[in-house]
Amino acid sequence: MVMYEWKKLLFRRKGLAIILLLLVAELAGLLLFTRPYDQELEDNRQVYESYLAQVEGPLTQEKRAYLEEEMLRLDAIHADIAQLKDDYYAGNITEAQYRQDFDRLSVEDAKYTGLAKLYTQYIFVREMEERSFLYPGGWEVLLTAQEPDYLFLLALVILLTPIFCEEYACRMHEILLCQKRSAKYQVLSKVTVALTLTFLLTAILQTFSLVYCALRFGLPQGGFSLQSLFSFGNAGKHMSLWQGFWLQFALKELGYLYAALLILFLSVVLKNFARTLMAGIVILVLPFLTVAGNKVFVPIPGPWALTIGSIYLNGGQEELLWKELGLLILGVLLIMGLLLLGIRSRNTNYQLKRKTARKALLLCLPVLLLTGCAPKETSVCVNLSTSSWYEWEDYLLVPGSFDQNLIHKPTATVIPFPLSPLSGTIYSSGSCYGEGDQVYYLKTTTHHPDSGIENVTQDCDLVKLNLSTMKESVVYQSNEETSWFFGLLDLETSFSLDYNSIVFLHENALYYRDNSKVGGLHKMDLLTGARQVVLPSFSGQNLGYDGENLYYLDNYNRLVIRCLDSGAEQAIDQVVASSFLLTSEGIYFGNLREGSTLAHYDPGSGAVTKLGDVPIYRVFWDESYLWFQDTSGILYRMDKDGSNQIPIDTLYLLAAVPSGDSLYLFDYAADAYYTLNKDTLECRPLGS
Amino acid sequence: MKNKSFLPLLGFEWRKNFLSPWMLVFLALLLVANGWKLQWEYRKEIGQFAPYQELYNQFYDRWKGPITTEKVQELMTIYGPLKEKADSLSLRSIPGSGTYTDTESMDYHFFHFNFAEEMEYDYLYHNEALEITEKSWNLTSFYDGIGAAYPSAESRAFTRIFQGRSIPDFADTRYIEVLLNHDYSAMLVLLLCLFGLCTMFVTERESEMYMLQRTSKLGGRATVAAKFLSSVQYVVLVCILFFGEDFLVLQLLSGHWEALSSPLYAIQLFEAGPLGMTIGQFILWSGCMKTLGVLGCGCLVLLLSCLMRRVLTAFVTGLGGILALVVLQELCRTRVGLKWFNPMELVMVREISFDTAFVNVLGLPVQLYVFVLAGVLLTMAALVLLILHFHPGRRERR
Repeated sequence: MVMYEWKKLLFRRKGLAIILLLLVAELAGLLLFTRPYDQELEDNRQVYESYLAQVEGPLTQEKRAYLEEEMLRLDAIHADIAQLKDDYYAGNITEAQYRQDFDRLSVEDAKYTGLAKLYTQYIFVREMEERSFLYPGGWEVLLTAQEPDYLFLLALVILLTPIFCEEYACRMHEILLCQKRSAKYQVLSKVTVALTLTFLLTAILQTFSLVYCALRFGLPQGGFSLQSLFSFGNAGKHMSLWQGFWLQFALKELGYLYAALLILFLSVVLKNFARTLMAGIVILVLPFLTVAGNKVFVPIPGPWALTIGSIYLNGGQEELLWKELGLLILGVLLIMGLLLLGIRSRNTNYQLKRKTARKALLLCLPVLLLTGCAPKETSVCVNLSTSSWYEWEDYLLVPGSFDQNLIHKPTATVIPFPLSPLSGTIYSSGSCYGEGDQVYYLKTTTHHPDSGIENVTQDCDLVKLNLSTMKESVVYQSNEETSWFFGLLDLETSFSLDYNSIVFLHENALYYRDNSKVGGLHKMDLLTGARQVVLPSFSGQNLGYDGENLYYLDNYNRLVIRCLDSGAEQAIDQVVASSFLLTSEGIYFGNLREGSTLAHYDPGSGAVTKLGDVPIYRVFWDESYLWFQDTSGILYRMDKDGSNQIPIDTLYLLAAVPSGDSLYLFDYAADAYYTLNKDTLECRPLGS
Repeated sequence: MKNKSFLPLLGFEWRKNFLSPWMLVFLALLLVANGWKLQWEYRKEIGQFAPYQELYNQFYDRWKGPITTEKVQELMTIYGPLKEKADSLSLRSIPGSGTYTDTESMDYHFFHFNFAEEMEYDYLYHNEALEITEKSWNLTSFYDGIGAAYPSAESRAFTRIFQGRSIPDFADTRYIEVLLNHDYSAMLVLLLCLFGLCTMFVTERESEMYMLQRTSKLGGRATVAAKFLSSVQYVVLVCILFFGEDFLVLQLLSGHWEALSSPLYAIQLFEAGPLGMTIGQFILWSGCMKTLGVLGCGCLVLLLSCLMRRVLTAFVTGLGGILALVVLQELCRTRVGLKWFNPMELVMVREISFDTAFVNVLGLPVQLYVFVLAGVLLTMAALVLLILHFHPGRRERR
């Protein structure tokens, strides 16, 4: 009888297909959507583990001393490195000395973040005696689920509803009442099948997450106490990590079995497919979406809190004592018994007519494709330091006092950029990348969904403006929104495209500089949104790109050329610079070996020629002349061979943008644009 | 003949699908859940000022209506000194330090969040709108100068929209924000719609009555028409119940009616939006849009109900279809090309009407919400045609 029920469930009603689909979907969800507990910890895992090896286990006096000493030492090194850079730029130490010291110190400094993580854990551990040192990443992910498995609950409802409902639907339940081996035996076998299936599925899903956490993060030291984890620091019960896991396993099993019995009971009472499905969803899934925060369910003897499992162990006011938890479980079991009695008392029992089943239609989601990026130009020359302006034919995109402006050169009109009248709510990040008539920039739109709480949401997208047709299109839409599904689910996204500067686009990926404290050059794939670090840090404020290679200054302020496709790097020892500019005629840089004066490097011949004797701050290039700004802010014009250095009296200069026969200057004190004739050096306000 | 027997047919369809005690149970349960969630959200919006409702009403009655200099001066005599203290970080938080509320700091927050901020926004909106009009006018001339026809038409539309906008009156709009951001009722309506409509065509197929249907006189078109009509009536009724409950509950909780005649852009979310109607009109309009959206989803459910042979699969595919539409709506914030056929966009009508966005249709700038509305109506028509083609009771053509 039981075997026949199994066969019905799995094959006749395609239960096996649904179960396999569920398992695949759960696995995919695990693989794609599991975020580590602490991303910084994962990034510095090696250093962290090397220190952890010294202190793993309960806290002792020697471990205390070791950690405090080590922290002081690394703090000192951190401060030393900052001082070292300042000394080098000021010219107090030689290059060789700088490199030697930097090499020596940076090896130790790289351990700083890892030790900082362990130190935070040390402060946590020393508060309570039961806490020990261990790597928390795997256990945290395994034990701290805050939401039930919605997909599994839905699948349960779909799988278990037909067990009784099908017989009601074809009206066989009345005939089956008069069978000899009906009532008791049939009902029991159905319920057994349902509960066994739920039990097995829950166990399989828990095993998936256990194996996944063990493989991806590692689950060391299962014998340590549960309070060693940050999330369970105040748990009232004393148990080891493994015990915690088994308790959660048992609670979840109980929860889902309860849910299964509830579904069976509903199907027996309602006798109708649609009603049971609806009731199942309303009773099992809807409460989570109606109530904010799942702690409300903890004292209630229902399946809701049980399916979340470890919510009982978190500590705080909502936590139940052992005795209360025992009473709760007793109450739950009582209710489950009542449900069983209810089911049995309905006495349903029947055989199913054989029907050949036809395949149902599958509806496929439309595939979302993004537009590709613009074709690669061969004569590209992009610098991060000049990324706030771009020139194409009649248009000039320039920085302004708050944002950027678009200048139409023939009519000398200045228009605020982005080209929208809503400049209060729409702004660009200040940097752009141009290819021909397409300009890419990061556009942020702000909204006020709630004025009472001063809430502001921002959406930052990568947008492309076509300067010949003045049409804008979104290249990459960022999904930073945190409230999904009718505002009821909160998914965290910790990444925002805002506050970054575009450097360039290459091979359908966006390369941007991270302006937060992390810094460095990052790359984001425009199709998948996957991000990776290209350069963790670089010196100077500039990066160059010529269509194939990336130019940057490494930690020794030496120029390095990296081919983006192959990853091959070539360090140029002759160029040690405080700042540089990549041009089609070679590289102009402030030579640190000659006191930051202007020099020129020719990649073809490898020759370095000294051009000026004034320490430079910034250099601008155009076809006819060289322009540079010295450390006091005065702008100079110089011929390409270094002669005829002429200072120009312009103060408060924010940007100098060469275009045609003029240099466009922006004076931020006067908030106005001026044009400077390159040959005659005549300076006039724009438009006159 | 048809008229006389059509109404009973309609009645039968109602009795079959919708008039059952369990339906009423679900309806009541979900109405209660919706009401509870509404009042919870309203309390969250009021936040820390909940114990000061009387005080709020007192000042609100004094200052509501057209913003005049006297009212502003009255407000500033109370608020001005508090703001100075706030700027110099010298607000006291000890109980008993406040003149109107418990602490001085609470005094400041009370007047700041409830009155000063809102009145300032209302008062300055006129200038903001003038600025936007001017900027878009400049852009129009610029685009005309370089000969970009479509961007110029867009800017001209912008100018037209923002011209002459102002908010003359101050009104209590807090509950309106809760109302316009409340999507929970939409989810419940969709669930009820799924529940009610998924069995529409499938029960005949399951009990194999569709064969008989094909041979009866009124079995073909008339039955489908009756089913259709009853579905539409049901969906509209459920929508009116839930969206009406949204409005009534919040209106009763708030007690102030002035906001209904304020322009829509008095809500900060809509400050850059294209709609210039009053809030009351917008509530009605968005209710209609949401109902249309739910009807669109209902058409999808009906179509799936036609094609499936068992109630279970009809329900599951209906649920899957609705979830897919929800995911599509949430992912396509900027991908306009994927918005036009999605009825869920109309259910979330707020998302397409708070931003002034245009779509290029044959060189003319068309407002985004008009575009989506037209697209969804087209999709619904297509779905209806498909249902008429596929319903189980259809007569086979030889």
